[in-house]
Order: sequence, then structure tokens, then C-alpha cells
Amino acid sequence: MIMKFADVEVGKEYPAQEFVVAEEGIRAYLAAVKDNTELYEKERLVPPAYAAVFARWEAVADEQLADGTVHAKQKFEYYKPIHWGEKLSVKGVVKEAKEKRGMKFVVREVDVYDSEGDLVVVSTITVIFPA
Amino acid sequence: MQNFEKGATISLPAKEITQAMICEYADAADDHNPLHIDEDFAKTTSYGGTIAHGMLSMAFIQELMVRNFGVDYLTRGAIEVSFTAPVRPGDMIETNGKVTAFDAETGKAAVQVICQNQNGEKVLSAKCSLRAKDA
Repeated sequence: MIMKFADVEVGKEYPAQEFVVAEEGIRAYLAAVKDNTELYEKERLVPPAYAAVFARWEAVADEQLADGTVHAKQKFEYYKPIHWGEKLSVKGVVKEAKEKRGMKFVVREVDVYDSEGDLVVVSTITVIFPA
Repeated sequence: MQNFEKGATISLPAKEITQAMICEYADAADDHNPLHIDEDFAKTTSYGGTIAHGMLSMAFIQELMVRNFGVDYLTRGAIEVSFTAPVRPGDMIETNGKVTAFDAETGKAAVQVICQNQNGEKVLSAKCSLRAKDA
């Protein structure tokens, strides 16, 4: 479903979704951003930037962003390292929707938990809907 | 984690952004917004052409932080990015950070990072930080 600004519900919580941080996906991501930091291979740790994949809004909500949607701001908070192959639980909530300077801003939060139930990442995403 | 002096600078070698890189990122991140990969569509927008995902450049800043702060960043780090200008195919992106605060005892740190293109134009700015150990 293509999300329209008028349909955004502030406070809406989305049910938890599962995401497995597979080695193949991590390697493809690191290759794409040209990051060869040894720590990830050595310790089989998920790069923090990979939260862009498992903590993105499309991972928690069956909603597609309209063509031309712009990612304005992004915040990540990290609480615990994630290892390759871990199964994560990802939950989303809409925090804010406002029009400002003729632009339509929406702020969403995605909370990510590991298989032990520990919070590992919080993602706060601000997008501008197309006019 | 090594200790830093306030005012210390950290940086990454410049990375070239190509359309191929943007398309590869789109596949890896499963983000196929045509603004990034469809030149015909992108020309109809105010950007006038394809631009890189903001998260692609943000990954450079994350790389900088992990290279300098290691696992500590994965345990108690944070990053807040503003995407200030579009990054286009052909751009060379430099990533430079400055340590604005560091407490060796608590492990708290703050780093201001800027990504700029070959014209010296700021394209991303980020406030990065590490919370105190056992906070």
C-alpha cells in the first residue's frame, strides 16, 4: 500500500516483525558501501549501518513510500552488538506528522530487540512526503 | 577503545559515488526508490537526476566511528544525521570528524562529523556520541 500523508496515524503501533541478519546480506551491504573494516569479519558482528536495512520502516509496516519521498533525518542509538545470523524482533510506531514550510514531515521510530529480548537498536526516521 | 584529545580529528579516504554503487546499494538495502536508480524518473523531480540514498553516505560516517571507537560504538553509540545536500553520481565524498568531547574515565565521547563533496559542499552532518560505560 502506498502511504499518503493524510493516512498517517500518529501513535499507531505496528506488530513486531522478525528479521534474521544473514551473512549474505551483510556481506552485500559492506561491499556496496565499500567498508572493509576487519572487525565485522573477525568478530562476525553486524555493522551498525546495517540497521538501515533491518530497522527501516518497510521492515515493520506493509506500507510503501510514494515515489519521491525524501529521507530528511536519521538517528540510530545502539545498545548491544548484534552477531551474524541473529534473529531480531522489529517494532514500529509513528511518533509525529506535521506540515512545516510547505513540507509534510513524518517521524517514525523502530525498536529492535535480539532473541534474548534485549533492546539492541532504536531508529528514528524523519521523511518528507512528496508534494 | 583508544583515548582521544578534545579537538582530535579523524577521517576516511574519499569515496567515489557512481550510479553503479548507488544501484548496488539499492539492492543491498532493498530500497529501490526510483529517485535513486531511475534517471528518467529522477529528471522529473526537483533534483533533476538521480541522487544517492542518504543512508549510503551515512554508512561512511558509521565506518569512521567503528574504525575509531570499535565495539564500544556498537554497545553505547548514537548517531544523528541531517541530509543537507544531495549526493550525485560522480561525487567524491570525504568524511571528516572532530572529537568535541572525550572523558577517558567514563568513556563518554562526542564527535561532529561532516561529509563533503569535491566542491567542498557539505552533504551530510552528523552528531555522533558514546554514552558513559555502564550508563
